[in-house]
This record gives sequence, C-alpha cells and structure tokens, in this order.
Amino acid sequence: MDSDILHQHYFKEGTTGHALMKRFYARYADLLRYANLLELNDVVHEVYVSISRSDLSHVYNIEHYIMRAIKLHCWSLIDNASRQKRRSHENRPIRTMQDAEWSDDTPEPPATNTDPTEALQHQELLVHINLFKEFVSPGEARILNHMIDGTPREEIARSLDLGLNTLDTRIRRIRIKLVRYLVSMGHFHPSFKRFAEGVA
Amino acid sequence: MEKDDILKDYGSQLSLTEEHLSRAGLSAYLNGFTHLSKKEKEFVAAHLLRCEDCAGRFAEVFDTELEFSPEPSVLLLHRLPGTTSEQAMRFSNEGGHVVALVREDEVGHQLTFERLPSDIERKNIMVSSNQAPLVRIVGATSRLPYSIPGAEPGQYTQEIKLQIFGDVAEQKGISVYWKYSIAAIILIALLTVITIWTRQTDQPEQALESERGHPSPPPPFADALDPERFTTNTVLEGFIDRTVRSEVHGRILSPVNGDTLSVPFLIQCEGDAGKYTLVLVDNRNSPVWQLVTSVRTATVADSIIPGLYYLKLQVDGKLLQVMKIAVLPKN
Repeated sequence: MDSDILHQHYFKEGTTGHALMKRFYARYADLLRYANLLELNDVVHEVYVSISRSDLSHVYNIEHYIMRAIKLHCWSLIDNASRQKRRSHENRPIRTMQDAEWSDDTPEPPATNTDPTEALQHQELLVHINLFKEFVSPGEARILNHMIDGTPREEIARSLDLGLNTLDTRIRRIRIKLVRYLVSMGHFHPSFKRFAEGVA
Repeated sequence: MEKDDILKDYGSQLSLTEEHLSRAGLSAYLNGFTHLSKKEKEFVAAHLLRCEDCAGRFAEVFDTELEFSPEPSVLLLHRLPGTTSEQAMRFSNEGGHVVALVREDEVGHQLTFERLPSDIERKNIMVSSNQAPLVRIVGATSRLPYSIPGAEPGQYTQEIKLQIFGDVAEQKGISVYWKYSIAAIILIALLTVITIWTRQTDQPEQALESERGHPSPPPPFADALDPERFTTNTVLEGFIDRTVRSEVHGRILSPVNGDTLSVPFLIQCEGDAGKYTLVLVDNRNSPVWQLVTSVRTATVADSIIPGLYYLKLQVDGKLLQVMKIAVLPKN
C-alpha cells in the first residue's frame, strides 16, 4: 500500500485509526510524556513510521491488520513510556567523585526481568510474530504455530495431510517471509543470514 | 538457547521464561487469541494465573480495549426461574440465545456457556454485575468452565451484563491479489455476456446479409473469450512464487503475477549475465510464444488469443520463475 494512501485512510484526522490513537493519547498522555511523546501528533507519527516499514501489499485483510497494528504499537509506546517513568523515578545511589570519573564509560547494570514493567525481546516477538500471521495464509499460519510449538516435522505433515517435501518447501517459504518481516521491523537474529537470499 | 533458529529459540523461551507480561503482549493475546500457538497461549495464561501484577495489567488492557472498541455488544443475562443449586441465566436476541450456568463447588464459582451463538463464540467477553467486573474471558468457548474469582454467594443472581468485543474470530479476508483476480474474472464474465448478447443482436442482421450474399466478417474475439481458456492450471499454479535454488539469479520485474494485459506487452527481467529463455504457455501448458535472449527486455507482439497464460523464466533449461497473467482483447 502506498504510504500516502495509508496516511489518508488510517492516520489522517477523522479516520478510525486516528480516532483510536487519539483515545489512547487522551488516556495515557501523562505517561507518554516520559517517552518524549508530548503531543498526539508524536504518537501518530511513531505508529505511522512503525506500520509503514512493512510491505502491506501481502496482508490478507488490510483494515483488520492496520487497526490491530495501531493498537499494538500504541501499547508498545505505553510500555516504553512506563519503563522510562520507572527509570526516572529510580533512586540511584550517590556516587563519589572517583566513581564519576569513569561513570560515563561504565554501562548501566543490566535490567533484571523481575520488574513487572520490563519486557524483554521475545515478548516483542510475540507481538510481531502475531502481526506477521496476517501476512500468511491460514494454512501457513497453522504451520508457523506448529514450528513455534516445536512439533516434529512428521507430525505436522501428518496433521496437515502434506508430504514431507511439500512441508519443507512451505516451511522455507514461511521462514523467508518471516525474516523479511522481522528485518523490516528492526529485529535481528543469527539465523537470519541463512535466509538472506530471500530477504535481499 | 537455539541460536540457529529464531522460532525454536522463541518457542523454548516461552516455555522457560518468568518474564512479566507487557501491555503490547497482552493486547496480542487479547486480539489474536484464535491464531496463537499452543505455547503462546500457555505462556500468557500460566503467567496470569500466578502473577497479580500482570493480572492487573491484563485487566487494564482488557478494559481499555473494551472501552475503545467501536461498538461492543451488550447482553443482559437473567436468572431462569426455578433454578437452585445450579444457577442458570438466559439471554435471547434475534441471533440466538445464550444460556450460562453458574456452579459452585470446592474451587469456587464457575461459569459455563452452554452454547454460544456463532457471532459470539471466540470473542472477548466481560461479565459484570452491577458495573463490577466478575470475569474477563478471552476467546470465549462453549462448554468450557471459567472461574469467577472472588464471587460471593448469590452474586450471580443479580443482573449480569455481558460485554462482547474483539475480532479474534474474524475470518481472514481476501488478499489484494485475489481481489484483482476476482475483478478480472468478473470483467471477463461481463465481456463474455456482452459478446454473446452482441452476437445474438447481430444475428438477424447477419442472416439478412447472408441472404443478400454478402456474409459479414466474424466479430473480433467472438469465439475467443472462451471460459475454458481462463481456467487455472493447477500444476503451474504450484510453481508460482516458488523459491528456486539456482546458481544463476534472475527474475521477471514486469509484468507482475496476476496482471491483466493485452498485446503488445513488455517483459522486463533482471539477473546475472547470460541467455535467458522466456516462454509463454497457455493454461494447458502449450507454448504460444518463446524467446531466447541476453537482453533484459522483450515485447510480446504476436496475436495471442485472450486467455490465462503462464510466463516462465528459464536458464539452461532450469525453471527460475513462473507467473500468471491474463490476456484480454485490446478493446
């Protein structure tokens, strides 16, 4: 979908997409300030940039996908703002001058995952993989789910009544599409280079 | 950790992690429940059971999405008279009826929908009593018990409201490609009807001219828009979008798969140096046009009968790409 059409249909004032973002902003404006999203337009811009990264021409139900993606991206912004707020409210110990001399080069201690507001990478994957399911056929989505669940190939082939060669071809096709989508969303994984030919 | 495969890595992390749930993750669960894998569902559901913080965040996401939902349906459940140990409630509307049973046992109160109408099945349901939420159900399913935490005895005998929202059960729509395909088929059908109608209208005139001894030439494409020429070839369909491993790289840039064209049309390719073979076959896989070329553009100017065709790109006899195009009369 052309980016102008995307803007006209879902991000321009008066559209359903814009109305949804407006409601999120009205509800969470105070929190979103911590992520430097001071105005509604900042939120609209962030969501627009995220959604327009992917090639929407392969989406099965464009309206359904975009409205879902707007909601998910709004929640991601709110999650991020929530983390920023927590960090800004953290009471850091007073450092000595000696500490201060090298503190600029010292990385922050890694965040623990015991904090309820801290989400790690694979929950972003939960969001993006489930948005990606809108880019594949229902049959491919079933295979993808089996792959996530770690179902053996033979069992997948049996349950979907497919030959192993056919299944392997479909799996490879799904992986190439998934890598292409995740790369467009800014993800990286060591396994991506195996499918680089499909991404290029 | 499975570093060689992102999906194995992701799946195993879902089983192992104690990570708290983000609002975005909860929204994905809420809106995509039907399409989640077993591990994804278990990851979220198991965490919600044991983490109060995340259960609170789930309630926040659920209630916000319910509030922001354009038109959530609202049903009022009424207690059926004469029910005692097992309280039954019913709602009736044009689309069917909902009977909900509330049972009390050692684990507390449980709500079961006997049979949800199809437009409600697998949607998200908020069950509340006097504006107080009783239970939030994701992807409601008939005959599954849902526990009502903290329900007081007799509470369910008050007026119960069901708010239904979400499109978790929405069927996937048709892709843009299929929309164009359907549009092309409708156009073809329309042209066929017009052609037949035109022939029928012209028949008296033709008959008259035949009697005069001056037979008129057949109308262009009168016998060309044969529906059989537009049926798909299931074998060739299987090759479309297929990824072919080859040392030689090459692909067709235009036309694109599913294009509707009329002759003459231009074919453009890209790829490594060397000779490529472009073959246009009809829907019976019979070649109608072929060109061996080292140039990356070619024009099909031959008279091609309107129909469905498959364009193949080959190098050294190896098939690199197949795409489908519909050829229609010029006018």
